[in-house]
Amino acid sequence: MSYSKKKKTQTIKLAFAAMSLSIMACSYEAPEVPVPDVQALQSADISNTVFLGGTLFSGVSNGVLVEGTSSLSVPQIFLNSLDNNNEVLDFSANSSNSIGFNLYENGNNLNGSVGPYQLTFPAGADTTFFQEFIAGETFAYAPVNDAIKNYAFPKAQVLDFTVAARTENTFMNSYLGANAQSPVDQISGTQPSFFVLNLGLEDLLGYTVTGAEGNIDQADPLAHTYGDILNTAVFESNLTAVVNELLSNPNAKGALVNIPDFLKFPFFTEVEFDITPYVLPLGAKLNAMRNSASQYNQALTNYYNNNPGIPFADRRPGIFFPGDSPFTWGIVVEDNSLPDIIVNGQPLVKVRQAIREELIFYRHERFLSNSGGNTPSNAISESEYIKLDEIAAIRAKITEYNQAIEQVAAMSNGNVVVIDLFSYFEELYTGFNQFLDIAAQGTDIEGVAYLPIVGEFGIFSADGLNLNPRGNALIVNKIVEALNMNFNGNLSGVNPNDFAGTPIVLSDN
Amino acid sequence: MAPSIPKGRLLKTALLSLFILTIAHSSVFAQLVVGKVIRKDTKEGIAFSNIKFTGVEYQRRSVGVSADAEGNYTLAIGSFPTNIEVSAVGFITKQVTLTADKTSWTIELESKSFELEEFVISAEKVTVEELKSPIQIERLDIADLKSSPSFNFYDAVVNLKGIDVATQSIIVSSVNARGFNSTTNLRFKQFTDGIDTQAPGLGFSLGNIVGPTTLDIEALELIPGPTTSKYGPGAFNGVLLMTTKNPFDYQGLSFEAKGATIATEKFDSQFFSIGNTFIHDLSVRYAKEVVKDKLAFKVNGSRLSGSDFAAQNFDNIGPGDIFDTQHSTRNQSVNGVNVYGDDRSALLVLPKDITIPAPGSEPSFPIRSLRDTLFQVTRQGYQEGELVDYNAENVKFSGALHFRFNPTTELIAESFYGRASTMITGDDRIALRDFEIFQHKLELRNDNFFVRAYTTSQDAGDTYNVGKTGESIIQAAKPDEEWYSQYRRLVNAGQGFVNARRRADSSFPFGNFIDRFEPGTAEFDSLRNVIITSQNPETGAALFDKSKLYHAETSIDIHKWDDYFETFTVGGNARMYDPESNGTIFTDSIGNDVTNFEFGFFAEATRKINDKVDATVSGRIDKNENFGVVSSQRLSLVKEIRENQFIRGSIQTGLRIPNIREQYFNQNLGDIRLVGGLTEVVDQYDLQGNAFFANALEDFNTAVQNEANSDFRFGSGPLDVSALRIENLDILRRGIIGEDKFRGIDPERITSLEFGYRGLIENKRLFEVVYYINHYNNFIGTTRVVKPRTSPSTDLQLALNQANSPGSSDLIFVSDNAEKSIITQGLELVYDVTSDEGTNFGINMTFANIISDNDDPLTPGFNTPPFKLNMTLGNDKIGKNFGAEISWRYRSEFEWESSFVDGTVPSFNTFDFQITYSIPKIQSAFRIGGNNVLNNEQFNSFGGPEITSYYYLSFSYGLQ
Repeated sequence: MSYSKKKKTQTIKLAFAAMSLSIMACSYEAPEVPVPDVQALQSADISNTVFLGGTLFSGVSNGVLVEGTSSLSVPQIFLNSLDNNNEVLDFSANSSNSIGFNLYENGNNLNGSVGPYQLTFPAGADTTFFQEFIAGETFAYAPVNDAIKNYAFPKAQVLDFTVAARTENTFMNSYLGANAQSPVDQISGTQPSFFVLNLGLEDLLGYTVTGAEGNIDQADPLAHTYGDILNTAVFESNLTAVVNELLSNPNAKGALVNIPDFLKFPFFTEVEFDITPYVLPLGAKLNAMRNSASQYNQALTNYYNNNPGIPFADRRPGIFFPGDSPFTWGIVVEDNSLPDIIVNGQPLVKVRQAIREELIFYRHERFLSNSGGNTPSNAISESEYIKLDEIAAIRAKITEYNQAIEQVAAMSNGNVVVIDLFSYFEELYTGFNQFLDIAAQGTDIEGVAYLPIVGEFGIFSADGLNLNPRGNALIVNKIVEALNMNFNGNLSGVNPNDFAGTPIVLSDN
Repeated sequence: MAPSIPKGRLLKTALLSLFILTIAHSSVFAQLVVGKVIRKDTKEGIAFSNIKFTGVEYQRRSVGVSADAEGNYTLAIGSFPTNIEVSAVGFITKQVTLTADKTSWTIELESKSFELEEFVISAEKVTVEELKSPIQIERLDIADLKSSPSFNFYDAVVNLKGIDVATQSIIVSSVNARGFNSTTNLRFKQFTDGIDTQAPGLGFSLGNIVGPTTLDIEALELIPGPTTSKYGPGAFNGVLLMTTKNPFDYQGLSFEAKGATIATEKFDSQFFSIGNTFIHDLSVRYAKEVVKDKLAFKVNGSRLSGSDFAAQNFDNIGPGDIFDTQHSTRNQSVNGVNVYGDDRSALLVLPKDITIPAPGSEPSFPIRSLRDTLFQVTRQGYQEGELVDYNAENVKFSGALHFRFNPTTELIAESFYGRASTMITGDDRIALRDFEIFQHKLELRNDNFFVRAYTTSQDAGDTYNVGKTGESIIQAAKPDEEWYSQYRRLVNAGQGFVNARRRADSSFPFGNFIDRFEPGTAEFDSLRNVIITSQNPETGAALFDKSKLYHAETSIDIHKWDDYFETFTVGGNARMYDPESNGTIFTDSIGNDVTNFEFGFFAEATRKINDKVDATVSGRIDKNENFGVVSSQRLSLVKEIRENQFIRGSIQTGLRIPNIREQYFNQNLGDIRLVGGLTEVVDQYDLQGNAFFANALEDFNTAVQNEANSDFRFGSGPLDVSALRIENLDILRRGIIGEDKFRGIDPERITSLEFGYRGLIENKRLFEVVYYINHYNNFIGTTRVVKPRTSPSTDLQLALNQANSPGSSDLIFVSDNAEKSIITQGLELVYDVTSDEGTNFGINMTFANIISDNDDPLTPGFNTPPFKLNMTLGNDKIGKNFGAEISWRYRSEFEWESSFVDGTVPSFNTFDFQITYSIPKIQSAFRIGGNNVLNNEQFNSFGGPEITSYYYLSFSYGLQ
């Protein structure tokens, strides 16, 4: 039986028609990308949020403030996340430096050109990394952004915001100028609906990073300098003034960030008490140290032999290098509280070996093997470490200031809340014991460690005092958490794993 | 819960069917005809002469019996008159018409003029058409399948030349040819009566869980090599065609009962192990012509149940020795093959020595050496047997209604149903539990055309991923994120490996977590039950899969140009996939339906160039909605060089459009996430710039580890691995996924050049030689990437540290194309003889290898032994009622790579046998046989089950 041509044609036509219909009916629809919710607080208006504060929120990282670091400051991350920005918008008063001016190394020398810190592995991979700095630029902090919301400036303390025409803070002064209005009045003039204040931390840090050499209870605002700690009551009144000014705007509300125990920060803790690792491989240096110590000890011995009536309790300790065993050598520090000794008509330098709980600044580590801290003639100066009694006093001030912050918030009728960074850092430092060399636990996010250290998985930048972007992101989430809880919000926070840490590079040599 | 046919209803259906069969059978019992075939000259009986039915209904098949040694035969005749053909070696074939007027027929044959040779080729081994076929076809007909020494007919293909079988369970085996074998055999297609047998949600055929039963199979044809132009995209490495018995031609009741002992315990290397458990297989078939030459039907049912093969390879494939099956102080990175939850390791850096001070001594805290060391750590997994039971079951029903408009035009409505509970190996080990497949077909065909439409649907039932189950149990006790962090800290605190592991495996710290779940406890069983029934893509292991496939096709022989072409055929097909997994397998979470449509057209023509040379040319175009138009072609020439000796050459291109999984995959296997290659699918993971190629990470770690272990550089002095890592960071930087990567997936292509010789030498011996060379482009495989929590573009060092731990990174396998081509070759040799006593000896061997490899890590494993050897020896008429066949196979060692596991498959050999005792008077036969009777330790896919010895006994009735 043959198959007719007509039937064939019909079959083919039918097949084509079926296929065409099927093609039109079928297509794959990719999952729709959900539109992010508008983030808001039900009992506060965050549409015009400003941040006021010091170095921690200014965007300083690795000791410098440049556009690349300020763009990842706590306020920047918060504000960009709030707007669901895919691109980073600039809300900060940028430095016009491109490499950076090192706040800690250059100090008050605005012509200094020490640049950012970096963490460096020496060639050979046979020791751990160390902190070093590279060449930078002289100070430049020009107002390159007209509509800022981040009024956190390096080294800015509470008086820098409340006192008009104050010139103490060069950074702030460069931007806001010597205006008849106080900075907080100027900021309030922008009518912020919400504010986050990070005031108080820098007031204590100024004293601490200058070696606790300033006035620890300065009650006179006019006499106050960066290295002084403002009297707690004065601090509280100034903080109240800032809060009241900002609350004077219609329906404004705000949050105060309290002060963590920054003495646990790597800036103060990372340098080991033991100098052994720094000098042990250096044979010539070791001999020089031994000779130098021997000479110093001999001078002490001679002096006390000649003055046997001096009670042993009032005598200076010697400098001992009893062998090559670790954990027996201390770093040599200057201590002006030691009794005067005159040898051959010359005062004998007031030095001793640091005791374990004393805090040496991280930035001095790189000197320990050569030009600092290993002989009586190059002892670490008073302004470069903190003694035990100073540590206790600073911790007491932290407690007082935090109480003041609580008090100011309590007086705000619920308009201002406290963001408890103190407790958060205590959590991060759980288990931390420098004496026993036990690392802090930090926290884990999606299986990734966040450790309060400088180095792998660390949240601190190379300066050891300011956070890197992933550390800033942690703080942003604590702010978000506090605001959501207190103002009934839906702020989403950020994923800290989307932010960078502190890179470690290889030495060029 | 997925709707499924209740077991109770199935049982009722089966019982009802049996009842109907019994009633019907009583009225249609065939009439027996007995007789004798004798020499015309001497009137002596002619031993083992063949009696075959002829006529239209027997055109495509061979049905009949053999006479015994005295020439006596018995035939079952369904209706009279019936035409038969009687033949014997050395005699002239004779046609006879049997009529109903007598029941005893003596048939005389005249002898041929030449003398008998010692050996002659079996007429059923090869026909002239097969000899001159432009493509290679391996065919097993009823006689072959009946005598094959295998537990079921499907396993018989293993003795064909060039064939690779990956055994996944007692029920499921994957068949492949010409390399790149896998348990998810995407490059090999399988058809039953024209129905693509793939499970729509899997994209590959699950052996024969829904195919014909032993009683209903008429023939198997296996065509190795690309046949895209005829069978559509995907027929890349070959096709297996299964044809069932037409109810007009094979009527009556038949049934078969089989039982087998099976050894499920780990190999004991004991010779002739009788096994420790049992499987059985019951089949029944009934067919009847309801209206003569108009309407016939058939129904089939079978049930196989018993114990499955167990996957018990616990060898360590992680660092260290293969026999390190337990974590110890010298190996913290044990990764057992069939142990789940220990697959991904973390690379930890810790001080090489940590000195714990004696109590009261100074200093009082652990002293860490300044020299780092790197080592890998895995968690302790669970053995497969702790996560599954090995009960296996396969229930099958099928039925067909055939209506003949005239002797050549037939309308067929056919359905298949299969339900299986067994183990298979996909991207994970998968426990099929009440996995169901339904197939329904409507087909109109005659000698000039066919139109066919069918649908296949599947229901995964209670199926679950076994590896994911192990992973989820481990994570439920303590997530990787915590475990690795704790372990690192505990070791760093000087706790030692054993204590650190014990503590990390506990609820430490503060009871925030749960002690490791121990197999055999009520807690373990309870959690396991929760996990295997949960479809939560993140924590559950249950698979929801109700995918469907709709297919329509036609083929028409056009005779308009008969003067020019011997044959001219055109055809077309259209197919729609409708995957439904609720997001457990595909990107089809709620509200995001996925469908995929494709269609194609082909034309094929054969022309006789001259008396000796035939040419065949074919071409095909296909279009899938996600891909452009693709085409494939074939040109072949066959030349008769001498009588019954042919050479052929062909060049053909084949293509494979990425299947549903390769397009839409989005499956979380616990330690691995599988992602399809479509741009919109893979883009969800934002991999460009944010992930590493896994091999780049491995290269990087190897470089660091080599340097760290180099005493030449560091001696025993201090070493900070972090510094070494930074030194080698460029290796890793080059391994960051580029912006141009994963921008879509393309169909893969093969160009195959093939030469063959096939001939009957001296009219008695079959020789065959085939050489092929295959050139593959755009090979589809999986690119393995590691995505750390932090993008390497944001912070390479952070990303690196995260990427080395399962707790802080994801391992993602993305379907992707290889960038370089690959060339393989193969040589196949066959020799086959049959003595005049009917003894058949066959030997075939296959050499296959890759001659131009690429270094692209995504290229699938060749997974094929370089050398295969099959030998069979058998005679189905050893005695009056006895037949026997033995086979021996050898496979050389080869490497196996898959997304499940990589490893070496050692060489192995297998000896099988079968003895058949027939009782013609009651159309019955007993068979006894054994597979791997020497109990040689073997597995044919790495990570697959051990194929232990098993012995079977069967009784069949009415098998035609």
